[in-house]
Amino acid sequence: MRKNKLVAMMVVFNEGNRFLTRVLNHLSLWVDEIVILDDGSTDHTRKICNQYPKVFFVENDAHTFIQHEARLREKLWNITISRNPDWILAIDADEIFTDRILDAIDSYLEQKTYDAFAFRLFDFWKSENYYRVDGAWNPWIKFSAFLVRYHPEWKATWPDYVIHSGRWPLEYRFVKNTFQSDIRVKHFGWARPEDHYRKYIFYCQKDLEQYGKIQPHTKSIMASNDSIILEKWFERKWMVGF
Amino acid sequence: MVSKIKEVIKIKKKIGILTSNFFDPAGQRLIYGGAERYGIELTKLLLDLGYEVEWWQVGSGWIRDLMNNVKIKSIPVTESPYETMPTLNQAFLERAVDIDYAIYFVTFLAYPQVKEKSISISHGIYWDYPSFDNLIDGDNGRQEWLRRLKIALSGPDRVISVDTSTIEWVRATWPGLSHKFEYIPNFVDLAKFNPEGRKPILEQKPIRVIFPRRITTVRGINEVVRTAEIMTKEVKNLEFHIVGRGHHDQVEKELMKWASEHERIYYYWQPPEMMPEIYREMDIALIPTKAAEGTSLSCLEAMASGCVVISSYVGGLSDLVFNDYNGLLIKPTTQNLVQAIYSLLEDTDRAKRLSKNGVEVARAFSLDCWRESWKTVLQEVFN
Amino acid sequence: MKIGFFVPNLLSWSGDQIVIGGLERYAWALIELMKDIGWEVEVHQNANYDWQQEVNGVTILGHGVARFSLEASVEQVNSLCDRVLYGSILQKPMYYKENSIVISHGVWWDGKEVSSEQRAKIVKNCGDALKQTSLMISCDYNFLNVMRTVFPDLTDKIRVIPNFVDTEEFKPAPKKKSKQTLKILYPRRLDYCRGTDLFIQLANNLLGKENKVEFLMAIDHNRPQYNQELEPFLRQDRVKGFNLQFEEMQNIYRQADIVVIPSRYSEGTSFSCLEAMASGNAIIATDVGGLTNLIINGYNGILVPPRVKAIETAVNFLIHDSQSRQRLGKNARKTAMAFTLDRWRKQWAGYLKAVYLSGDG
Repeated sequence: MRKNKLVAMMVVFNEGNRFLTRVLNHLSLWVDEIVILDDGSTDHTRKICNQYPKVFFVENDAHTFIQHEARLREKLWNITISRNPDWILAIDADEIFTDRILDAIDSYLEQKTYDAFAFRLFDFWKSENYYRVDGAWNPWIKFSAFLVRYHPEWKATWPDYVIHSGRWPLEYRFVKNTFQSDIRVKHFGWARPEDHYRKYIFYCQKDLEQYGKIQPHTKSIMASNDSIILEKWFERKWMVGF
Repeated sequence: MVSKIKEVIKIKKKIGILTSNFFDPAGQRLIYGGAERYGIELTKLLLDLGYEVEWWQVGSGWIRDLMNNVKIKSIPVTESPYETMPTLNQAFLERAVDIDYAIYFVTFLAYPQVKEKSISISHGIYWDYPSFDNLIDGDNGRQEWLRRLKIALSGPDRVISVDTSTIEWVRATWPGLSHKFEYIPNFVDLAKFNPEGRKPILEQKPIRVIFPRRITTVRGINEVVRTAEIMTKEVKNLEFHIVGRGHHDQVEKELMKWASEHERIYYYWQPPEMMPEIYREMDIALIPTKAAEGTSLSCLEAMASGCVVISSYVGGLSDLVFNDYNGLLIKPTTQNLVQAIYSLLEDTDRAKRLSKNGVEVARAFSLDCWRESWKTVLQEVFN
Repeated sequence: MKIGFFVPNLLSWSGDQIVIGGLERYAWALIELMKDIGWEVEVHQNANYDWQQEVNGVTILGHGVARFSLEASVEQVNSLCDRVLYGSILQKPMYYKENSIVISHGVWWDGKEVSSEQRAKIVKNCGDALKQTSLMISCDYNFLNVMRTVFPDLTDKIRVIPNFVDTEEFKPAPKKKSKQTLKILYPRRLDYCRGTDLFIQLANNLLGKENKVEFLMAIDHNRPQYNQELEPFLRQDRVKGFNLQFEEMQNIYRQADIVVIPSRYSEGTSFSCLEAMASGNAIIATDVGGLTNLIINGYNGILVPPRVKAIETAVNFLIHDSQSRQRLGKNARKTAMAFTLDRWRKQWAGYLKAVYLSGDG
């Protein structure tokens, strides 16, 4: 039994027919509480969430993500810290950790050396078998902090960004004692080809608002097939209970 | 008058420690290898002895907290001619004006000039592999590199060496310098690394072999990979666990993929606090280093945890392991690794004896002993 | 299989005396082993004139050319024998035969009296020996470590076989009676490199402070003028000098409580240290050469730098801590069991066969 409490935080919006059930099934296995901020869903997202005893559900009246992401993230943060976490997991409704997290999580939360854990994120591309590795998509060359120790004594400020505001308050980014984990995280946001165009348009619009021009990474969403490099997902062995 | 003197005495003496990289030069991430753990234990000891401590390293000028009341400051330096950092060395002398004593965390940082009362630390011979030549411009640069190294070793009042092979090298190269050296081998925290509750050696299947090092060629990863392929094919119930970060992302990717394609071969890494638990599940530990080795922390930790250590005899490893007494000392080739593992599998009693002696020997390398030895040196030099 | 074994001084140059020293004991043990394997061994050595002797059933040829040049006697061996085993690294640039083994007895150029020019030459000679032979057997790992820094591409040819001790002959005393005085023993020849003077300084410092200690020196008489100089020191109360035959050494170890091996340089895996270990003595050795391959500080002895102050601190500690003496002595005996003659012979036999029973010759 671990002593430290792990609270996951997540923004959702019309996830009913996407990956939410799988995400919550898996999270329920290893986090203590899941704070979900529903950003005005109009489908059965709420119903799904309410089936999970670990979920702490809060609802926005209207869809605010498209207006100002940072304010939404700040609201989620404030609800999350009100749940007395020792550790916070920032996760999206289309991200699933590989199973090794089930064995590692207790030791991650109880150790004293590190204040954050970063993971490699794999962007599945038009399927659940292949992930993208060209350019900035390459999961092998970067780690993202998903799991951070909560410090009540720290300030928590948010940038005034409409998009790509980041999941963490500024003070929680680049935590110096960050452990880069070998556990992989699957991201299914791009796994369905039918979503691509809609998401592309959305990010283009936000890029223009934020930066005045469309970012190369956004452009690469619609890159031609021959410039996209995919790699087949492979399962790693792990011994449960080792 | 008396009270004034008292005040003077009360002031804590400040020690400045100069290193190259404690954090990555951008100051974002703490590098947490053996050297950094050494640095942290040393800092703790100095604080316990009532010193004030301040670290300096390469960086853009940022200042960070290393731990409570300990700052680490950075100095912008980009060049390291002939494997030295004279600009860092000079900037440290000029800027760390309020320190009373200095510790040069790596020997070559003491070139060209040292603080009047100072100690440097040698973490082992790091120039014993063929491609080291490339770092010093081959034979052309060797003389200059040696000249600088000699100056670096001459400056400090004392050089702490983690192994005896470095001292022997100095004796065989500049015998006049060897009196500066003091052998203080690396340490193991016996409260964490011990055989309590461990898997009995070679009794329970699967038998597990661990390689608990950084994934680099000098640490012998290629030989281990080959050994793992051969042995997992030939011996049922034998597992290989390769546990450590690579120096490049590509290496980690390849190794992960490779492990996934082989039965009973695992590749992963864990926070250091998990390592004691991992060692308790392992039977045999491989330390087949080919060069640049001191008294390896991994070797000591594996030994203290009761793993049978199969080690190369490079650098400080022969200070830790006596062949066929508390482990096996071999020339690090695939064939020798395979043979050595077989020899253990075929003679469980011998393996158990090696494990038991390893646990006993490791006690001589306890953190307490290490702290005592350092304390003596500090009192001698900084008084 | 016939093998020529070059040992510079197995007998005296006149051929009438058996030389007693570590190198020579090593050579005799190796001769014994090769005979047991069934090989015919012919020893070649330096001499004042050409002579031939049979000692312990082995033919020994003395080459008188050594008077004029040491190289010449090696050339004699090379021309007389198909296969040659070189008992030590030659001090001059020489040709070694291919497919041969050369023995290293540790780093010997780590003393201050060796000039840097000499040192560079010696290191180069070692490299040449490595290049030309199939295998170099070293008696310690630090020789190998030093070589790796200079010839990282050649050191694959070095194998280490630490020296041996007969653990039956050298045994702890049945039970240490609780004695009034502690005996501190120096069991080496009289030589600056062996730290004789360090031991004498140590004794002089302690004799006045501790009245329940005795200092024993089991030393050679190879250079009588040294013994003469030592006379006044040895005449003191609680100091004793012995000139013992090898067979008598086991007794002196058994009498001793603490053994000091204060080598300054030129040290391998010392037979004396191994014998003291097998005898269960509490040992203080310096961190020089191969001694660190025998002693782990705080486990089976104490390792100190070759400085009087450090040695004295260690001796003082042991004088007043009988428990530590016992623990270190017990572990020393236990460790010695990993350095048996049997093990040494097995390892050597493997390399001898691998090199001399294959390849051209």
